[in-house]
Amino acid sequence: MSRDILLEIKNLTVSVKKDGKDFPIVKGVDIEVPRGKIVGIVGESGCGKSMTAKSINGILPRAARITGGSIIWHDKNGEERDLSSLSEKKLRTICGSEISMVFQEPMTSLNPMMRIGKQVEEVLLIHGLAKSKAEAKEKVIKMLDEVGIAEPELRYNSFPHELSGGMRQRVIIAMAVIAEPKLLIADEPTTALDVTIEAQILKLIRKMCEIHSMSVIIITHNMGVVSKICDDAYVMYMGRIMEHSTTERLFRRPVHPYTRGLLSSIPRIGEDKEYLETIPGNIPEIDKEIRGCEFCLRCSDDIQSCFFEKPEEKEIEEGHFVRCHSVEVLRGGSKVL
Amino acid sequence: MAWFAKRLLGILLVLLEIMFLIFIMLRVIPGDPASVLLNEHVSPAAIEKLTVSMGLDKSLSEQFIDYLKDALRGDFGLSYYLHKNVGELIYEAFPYTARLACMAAVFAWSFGIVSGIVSVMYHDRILDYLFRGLSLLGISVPIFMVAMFLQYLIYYRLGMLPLNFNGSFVSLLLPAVALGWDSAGSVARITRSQLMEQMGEPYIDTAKAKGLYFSRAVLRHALRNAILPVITVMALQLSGMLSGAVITESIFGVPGIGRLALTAIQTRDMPLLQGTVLFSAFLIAVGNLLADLINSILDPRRGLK
Repeated sequence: MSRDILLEIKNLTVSVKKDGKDFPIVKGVDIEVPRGKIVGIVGESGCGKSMTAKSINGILPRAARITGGSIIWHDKNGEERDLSSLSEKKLRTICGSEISMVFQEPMTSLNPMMRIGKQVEEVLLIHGLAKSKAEAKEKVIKMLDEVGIAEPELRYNSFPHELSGGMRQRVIIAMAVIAEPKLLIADEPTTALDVTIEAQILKLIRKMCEIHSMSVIIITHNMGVVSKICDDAYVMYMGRIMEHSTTERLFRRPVHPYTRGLLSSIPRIGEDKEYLETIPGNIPEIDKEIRGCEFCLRCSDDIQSCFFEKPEEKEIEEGHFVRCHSVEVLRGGSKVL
Repeated sequence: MAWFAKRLLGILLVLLEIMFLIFIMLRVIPGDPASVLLNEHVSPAAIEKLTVSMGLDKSLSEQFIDYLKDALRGDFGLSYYLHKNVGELIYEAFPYTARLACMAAVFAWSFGIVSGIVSVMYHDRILDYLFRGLSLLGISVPIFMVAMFLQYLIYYRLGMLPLNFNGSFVSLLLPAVALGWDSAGSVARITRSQLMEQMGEPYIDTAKAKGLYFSRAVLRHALRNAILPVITVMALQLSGMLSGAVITESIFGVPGIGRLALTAIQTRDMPLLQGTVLFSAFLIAVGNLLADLINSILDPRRGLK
């Protein structure tokens, strides 16, 4: 292994039950999270990116479950544990202390009936990270200060409804970071916030990642977020990783038609275009079986084999993987950038 | 405290309305109290005399104003049949009803809340189905059936508890279970459905991501949010039970408010019936107010509004 890997998702399959049948929504996903790096998983709503994240700490919704693959957690002393096969009780001892999570909806992700200080403090108390209540409270106030909450002593006693969305997201980040976990999973952390707050929150996540030397997985549908803070990026479509590489390579040379579609859908200031470019069509229903490439129905580059055969993942340059039939064509032809 | 004053005024208005309605209704229904009290063999002159002495010969509006005036002084009239002051009768009957209601509430709420929580923790497993079935029985079987079943099973077959109320604590157990039966069912169902709803909220995922396992997440996080509507229901149940359980009290012979009201109806005892109805209305109004107060205190998002 060339890089120092913290978490390794191998061939992960997650299925949901619908009318008594299992439908895969995450299909054989492989993701590596190196220590201290920020990894982005990007894709449209419903592509399975949240499900991938939620299977790591076992908070999949009732109807969904892991049906294959493994999630390997590498301890610093070299031990390996498969999170997908741990018991609920063992998994919960890792959650919060070593793996924590920031959620999409700051408005509803905090318990409306509990003071925010108590909610942050709970993490310390569950995992026995404070010797006394007084010490816990002190740590919480320090943490609230660190994530940029003004007057933390006062805010300690606030209820969630008394804070703005951005402030609540800061509280959730404080809660996620206070136990100094190795991995932070951020599921659309800025989707519900406005753009100026988004920049602040991303900066905060980056800062926390550096101070506490955490790895971060960021789930997003926003290519802008990926370009701003991610080291590695995975592009996901209908439960499959279509392309992945370092962010820098991916943005320099996007190869998969879906990645290119996502990138050209970003409006640019100063561009003189009447319409914003989009990817035509919608994501098909989950119960629709697709024999060939999942993206073939919306793809602009389709060749015949796209409809009948699943494309394999190919490494087109060092550390840059693409799952597309037209890669060979692209390489040989003139279409490569 | 303007909110509180407004609510109190509201209660007064409701009570006034109730007094008016029950007064009118009792005088619209056929049957003359004087002739019920005496009987058909008595001379018309005697009935006439009694009617005058009860003030029933005056016009309706005069009668109502007299009634209001007396009520304001705390005098709710003399029971025709029991020849006692109505206030005094209610005062004597209330302790029995109160004891019965409190025991029924303790049974109903502890069973209801615990089974609601257990149902959620063991969602879609045997215990869940068992408690769901029981609570369905709770809300669908009428009280008199439960009461007779309990009397048959516990008294007649097992001989464990007395058949009727005899003043002792043990003899109140059966009536309390019979009375609390349907309240237990509805509390269980509301607790369960509220908890299930809360378990789907994102903050539960937050709690689990923090490292709380399922049962702790239910008890520490979901329950706080789920309990508010349950408290409202419980307050209404308690005030309902305190205002008299006609069926339960009659079946088990508990001399409470419910039996008093029944006697009043059977004997056309207008002052007594007016008194018991007014008392029930008062308790229910206060129960409502109390439920709102508790909710406002417990829910940080709601000030006193």
